[in-house]
This record gives sequence, C-alpha cells and structure tokens, in this order.
Amino acid sequence: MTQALLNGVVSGLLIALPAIALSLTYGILNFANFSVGAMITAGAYLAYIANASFGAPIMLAAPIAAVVLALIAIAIQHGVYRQIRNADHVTLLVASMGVAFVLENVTRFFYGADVRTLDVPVARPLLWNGLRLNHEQLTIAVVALSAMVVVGFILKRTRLGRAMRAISDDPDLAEVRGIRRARTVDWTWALSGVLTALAGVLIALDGVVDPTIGMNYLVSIFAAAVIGGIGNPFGAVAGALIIGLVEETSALAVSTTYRQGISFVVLVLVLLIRPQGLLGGARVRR
Amino acid sequence: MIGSADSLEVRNVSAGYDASDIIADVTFAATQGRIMTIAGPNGAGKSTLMKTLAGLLRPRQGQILIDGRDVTQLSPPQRALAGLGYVPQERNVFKNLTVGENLRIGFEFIRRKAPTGEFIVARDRVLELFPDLSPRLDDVAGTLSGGQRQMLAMGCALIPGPTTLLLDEPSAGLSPRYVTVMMEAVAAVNRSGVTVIMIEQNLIEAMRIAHDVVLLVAGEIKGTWDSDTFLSDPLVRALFLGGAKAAGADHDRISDDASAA
Amino acid sequence: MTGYLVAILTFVSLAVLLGFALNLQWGQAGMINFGLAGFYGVGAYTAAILSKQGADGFTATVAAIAMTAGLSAVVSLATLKLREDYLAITTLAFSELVRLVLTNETWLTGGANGIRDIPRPLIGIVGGEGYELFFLLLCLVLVAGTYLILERIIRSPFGRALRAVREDDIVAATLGKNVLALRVKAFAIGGAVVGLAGALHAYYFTYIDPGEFAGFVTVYAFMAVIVGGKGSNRGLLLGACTVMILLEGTRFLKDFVPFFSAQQAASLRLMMIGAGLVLILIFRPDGISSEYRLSIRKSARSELNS
Repeated sequence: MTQALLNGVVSGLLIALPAIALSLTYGILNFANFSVGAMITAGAYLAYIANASFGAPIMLAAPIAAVVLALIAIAIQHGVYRQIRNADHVTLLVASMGVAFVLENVTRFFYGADVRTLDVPVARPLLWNGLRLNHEQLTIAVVALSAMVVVGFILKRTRLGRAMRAISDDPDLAEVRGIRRARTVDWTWALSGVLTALAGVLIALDGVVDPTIGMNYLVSIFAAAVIGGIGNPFGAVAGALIIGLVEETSALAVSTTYRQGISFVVLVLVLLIRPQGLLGGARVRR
Repeated sequence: MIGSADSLEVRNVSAGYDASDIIADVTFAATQGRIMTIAGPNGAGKSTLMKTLAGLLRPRQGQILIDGRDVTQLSPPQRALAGLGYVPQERNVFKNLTVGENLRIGFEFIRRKAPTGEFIVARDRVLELFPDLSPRLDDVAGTLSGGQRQMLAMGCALIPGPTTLLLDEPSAGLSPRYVTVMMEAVAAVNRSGVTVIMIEQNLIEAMRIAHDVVLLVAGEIKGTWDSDTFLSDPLVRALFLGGAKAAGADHDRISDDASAA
Repeated sequence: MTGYLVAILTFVSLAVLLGFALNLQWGQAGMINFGLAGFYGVGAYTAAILSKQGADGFTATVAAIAMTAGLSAVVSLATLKLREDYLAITTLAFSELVRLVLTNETWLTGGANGIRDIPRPLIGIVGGEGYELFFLLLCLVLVAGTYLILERIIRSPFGRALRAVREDDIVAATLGKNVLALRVKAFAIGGAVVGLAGALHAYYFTYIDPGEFAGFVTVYAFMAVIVGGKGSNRGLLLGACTVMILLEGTRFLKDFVPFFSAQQAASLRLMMIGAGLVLILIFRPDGISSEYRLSIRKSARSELNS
C-alpha cells in the first residue's frame, strides 16, 4: 500500500506539470487547451529526435525539446488562436481540438505508430525500507519539483508572473494598468510548452515514445486541473497529487488499463459536488 | 475652449457596444491642471465615454488627444504610457492579489525602466495620501472594505505619475467619511498638477472641488460650465436637475449603460 | 464506379446523421460534445452485439438508439450547470472510457479485434446482389426522416426554448424555462441520432473495431457542422459533402505521391482534417449558410464581436 502511495506521489508530480500548463493557459486565455496531450507527445518526440537521432544525452535533449516546443506553442498562438476573430472560449476550444489533431498526426506522419524508446542509461532502482523507487521515478520527482519551484517563483516574484496573475484576475483592468496582453500571452504559451515538453520527456523516460502517450494522460490532466480549480496553477499541483494517488491506489483494486476511467469518475464527482475545485478557480458557471 | 493647453481633447467621438451608438458626436476639452466633472442623468453614456477615453472601447468616429497627441488608435497600455490614469467604477483592483502587489503592478508596467527604489518612493507617496492602506499591504485586495478598495484603486492609478486622471464615480457606495477622504485626495492630486476628469453622481461634493462641468444627456454634450454657475443655470435644471422628462427619455439607454458598467 | 458512388453516398449519410446530432446538441442547445465518436461506438457495438445474438435489425437498432440516448442523458447531467468547457472535457473523457472498454472487455466486444460478420438486416429478403444499393436507399430514407423530425423540433416551442437557453440561460430560467430538462432532452435526442448512425455503420461495414471510433470521427463531424454553419441542417448537407470530398480527395493523394507509405498518407489526411477545422474557424466560422433565424440578428452579433 505504501508503495502505491509512493508511486502515486511520483505519478502526481508528473501530471502536475501539464496540469499547471493547462491552468495557466485557462486562467490567462480563458479557454481549455485540448491540445495539451498532443503537446506532451510532441515534446517527447522532439526529445527523441535530439536524443536518438542526434545523439544528445538526455540532459541536453530535454531542454532542447522544451525550448523548441515553447517556440512551437508561440507560433500556434500567433498562427491559429490569434487569427480567430470571434475568439470566444468555445471557438478557441474547438480550435485547440484541431491543433491537437494536427500535432498528433504530424508526429505520426514522421514516426509512424511504432514504439520507440529514449536512449538513457539504465540504473538500478533504489530500495529503502521495503519501498522501491526506480531511477526514472526519482528523476520525475526531482525534475517536476524543480520545475514547480521555478514556476512558483516566476508567478510570485517576477513582473511577468504578476502580469500573468493580473490578467487572470481581470484582463481589462490589466490593460488599463499598462500590461501588454500579447506579450504576456506569448510567455504563457512558452511556459506551457516547456512544462508539457518536460512532462513528455519524463513519461518517455519511464516508458516509451509513441503517438498516444500524451492522449493517455489527457483525462488525468484535466481531472487534476479541475480538482485544483482550473485556472489556479497552485491548485493544479494539489489536484495532480490527488489524482496520482487515487489512480495508483485504485490500481490495487481495478485493472490499470482503466486508470483514465478512474480519473473520469473522480472528474465527474468533483464537477457534481464542487465544480470550482478544492482551491477555487475562475469562471466555472455559465 | 479647445486650445493647446488642453490635457485631454475629445473631437466628434461616437461609440457604442452593438449596432447603435451610446455616445454621439461628443466634443469637449479638459484644460490642463483643472478638475472637470462629467455630469448627466443615468444612462447618459458617461461610463461609456470614460471607457472610450481609457481605450477599452474603440470609437466609431472621432479623435481623442492627450497632451496634443492623437491616441485614438492606441490600446489602453499605450495610453497609460502616454500619461493617462484610469479608475473604473467597479472591478478596479485585482482582488486575488495583495495591496502591495496591486500597487507594484500599477507602477512597474508604466515606469518599466525605473529601479525598485523609485517604486518605494512612489508607493510611500500614495500611502501618505491614503494612510489606511499602510497596515494592509500584505492583505489580499478582495478582503478590503469598499472604501479601502476605492483608495487602493485610485492609488494604483496615481502611482506611476499620470498627467491626466480619469475617475468613474470615485465616491460611489462610500460612507461619508470616505467620500471626504476621496475628494480631498482628488483635490490634493490636482494641486500637484494632474488634470482630473471625473464622473460623479454626488454633485454637491463634486462641485466643491471641480473647476469645470460638462453635461452629457442621452449621449450628447449639452454644454460646458464653470462649476460655480452650473447648478443655477436654468438650462441645466431643465435638462438634468429638475428634468424628470429628460431622464425618463433615456429609459432604454439605461440598460445599455448598465451593461456597459 | 457505381459501387464506389454508392459507398461514398452511404458514408455521407452516416456523416450527415452525426452532423444532425451535433447541430442539435451544439448548434441549437450550445452543448459541446467532444465525445461524439464514443457515443457512435456505443451505438455501433450495441447493434452489433445484439444482432450477433440473434436480434433482428429493427430491434437491435432501437436498442442502439435507446442505449446511446440514455448514456448521453446521463453524461450530460454532470455538467449541465457549468460552462461548455466542462461538458467538452467530460464527453471526451467518456469517449476515452468507451474506447478502453471496447478494447479491453474482450468477452463482450471482441477487444481490439472487434466484431466480424455482423448480420445485415433484411439480407434474407433483399439478397446479396443489390444489398448495397438497398442499404443506401434505406439510409437516405432515414436521413430524410431524421431531417424532417429535427426541423420540426427546431421550429417548435421546444426548439425556441433551447435557443433561448443557449443565448442566455439565466434569462431563460427567469422566464420559467426548465434549463436542465431542456438541455438533457436535447443532448439525449442528439444521442439517439448518433445511436442510429452507429447501428447503420455496423450493418454497412459488417465489421467494427475500437479503432474506428476514435477522435477523427468527432473532428469530421465538427468540421462538417462548422462548414455548413452551426445549427443549420441544410448547410450541414453541404458541409458533410465538402468534408467527404476532402477526405476522399486526399485518399488519392497516395497515387500521386507514391513515396508516402500507407500509414503516412493516412496521417497526412488526418492532419489535413485537423488543419481544415482550424482554417474554417479562422476564415469561415459562420459557415456557408446560417441558422434559419436570420441575417439581421447575425450581422448585429458580428458587429458586437468586432
């Protein structure tokens, strides 16, 4: 059981990264980015390209993937979302569905449905007090925690972070106070790209790289963000940990294939009971 | 009265939210260093006018000039950089951020290159004006009382040192003590050289500090007065003060303006 | 050649039915169904499983319709009072769950291998030769019938109430409309149409597997609906044809560009569909024709957004 809890925490930390990305773009752009799963997949493939095709060690491939995906995300913002005149949250939502489709199939086009793995050194799992923590899990925990600390720092202590929180709070007032929306939005997408790319790499570390890896986490990510209060990046972390724990502990009772099914049930329950999430977020009711 | 000593000039501006215009062919000017009040019945379009001046609403026609510079095509951040400060009537602070952060935001995006030291100085000046805020710097703005929020909102607009200040109902919903505080603050700010344009329902208080008045009825400017003569002018009484008819005629405008607020 | 045409037209009929459903759920009631493919799968599998158990075509189809409508109603209940995003997430998640069940519960669904040799309704009477044509005619009749029924619904007080709720549900509630009931009904009726389409899909192809009911079905449907103008069933006919042309057109891509593998050509086609959806949203978000509640309201609304 404790092993399940440990696995759950690690899993939660992993999901936290894209959940934060989702909450950030939701809070600032006011729409749910359905392409977050596809972005994870893209990030993993970018790292794969740097790693397997160009021989970069994973420590280098990961940041490369992060930067490239950040740029891609900004490009999509300018090429797609900004171009949509009637930019209400529904249209953007449907557009992100289209974007997800394109991203996923671009990777499929170049790499097919084959399963690939990253070229990483193999290491022995750590054993402590009867608990097993394999090397990939440790990496996930360290990277995810570091990323969260950095994001937290940005949000709380930098001008950019204040701009992001201000726009999230009240976009019109933010403009009046001199905040340039377009710039801040670009940075938000960049951050989103970095977080999802890192998540993609971490997922690939512990498993494989194939076109469906991002999609497999989509429901969990949304559930995590909703539990924490969508639009609240700090809540997303809490939500992710909860989802991680629920998924891993439920694996003791239910087959792991239905992991997403469990998250679906949790999502529905939260929406029925407390849709604004545990820590509350923005714009829930119609 | 349109000339080069005008802080703010509005020329033939028309604006609205859907197919119809709420304000039509509005022309007036605010002289530098003076306080101007925009008066008018409910639904006249005062808030809409202010939003247009602030840049939140694009005018369908006309021009807006700040210190002689055409800002009609400029976005709100650009207008803020041009020296315009704006305190909306509602939703004028970031409720989820602290008082200190609100003030910091008010400063740092307009005075981008200024070092932190200058921020501290500007902040302290605001806190002198509104001492009630000092003990609450680390409190989230949503927990402030109505009066404190208004003060914070004004403080945020003042902190970057604007040349022209737009105030939408600065005393709305405030208790008499806060009304006095606010009005005194406005007068003090004006004495330091800032041009003020304000919408104020509380005409008695407004006339006490204002120099000029412009009357807006049903989206049209009916004239400009000196604050001493405004209340006694028979035309004003007919159009606005006694004029229940004039106010009533705007009945279907009221909902427009309410949605504009 | 005729065979090919018959096949194309049959696909279009199925797509049109899905489009009708989405037009009702999204166009009229403002409810985003990102899980359309999942519901489609539910309809197809219900019909298939029952048919293989010996049920006749009619009963199995009715069961498929009922099952899909019922599940639609249940799924929509969770998010009715919330913003559209939440229904989108929930329906997508539901669709994922359906996919998982279809792939894993082999005892019921045949797992990843799917179900083969689904008995076609009335095959005994019609015989093998002209069946495809017969089936196409059956589909066309059903499409026409559904169209008429839906148009009736759209123009009825129920339809007006739905649109009122879509525009501003707070106002509608104040006026006494039971917002919840209206939305559940609309979603369920849409679900029924999806179930019908699913059953027809099963009978036409006689072989179904979980892979057919994946995201791309949803994206096609959205595209067809948007191209035709959200809410307009007449426009949808045009939209469905456009999407189908795009689909089939890209199928021939393989012949012109031989150095793509089959897998790549397939991905390319899907990529183009996704890109097509995005392009439509940018350039023609209102589609080609529009709602029957006409142009005055539309132009006023587009001014509001500018």
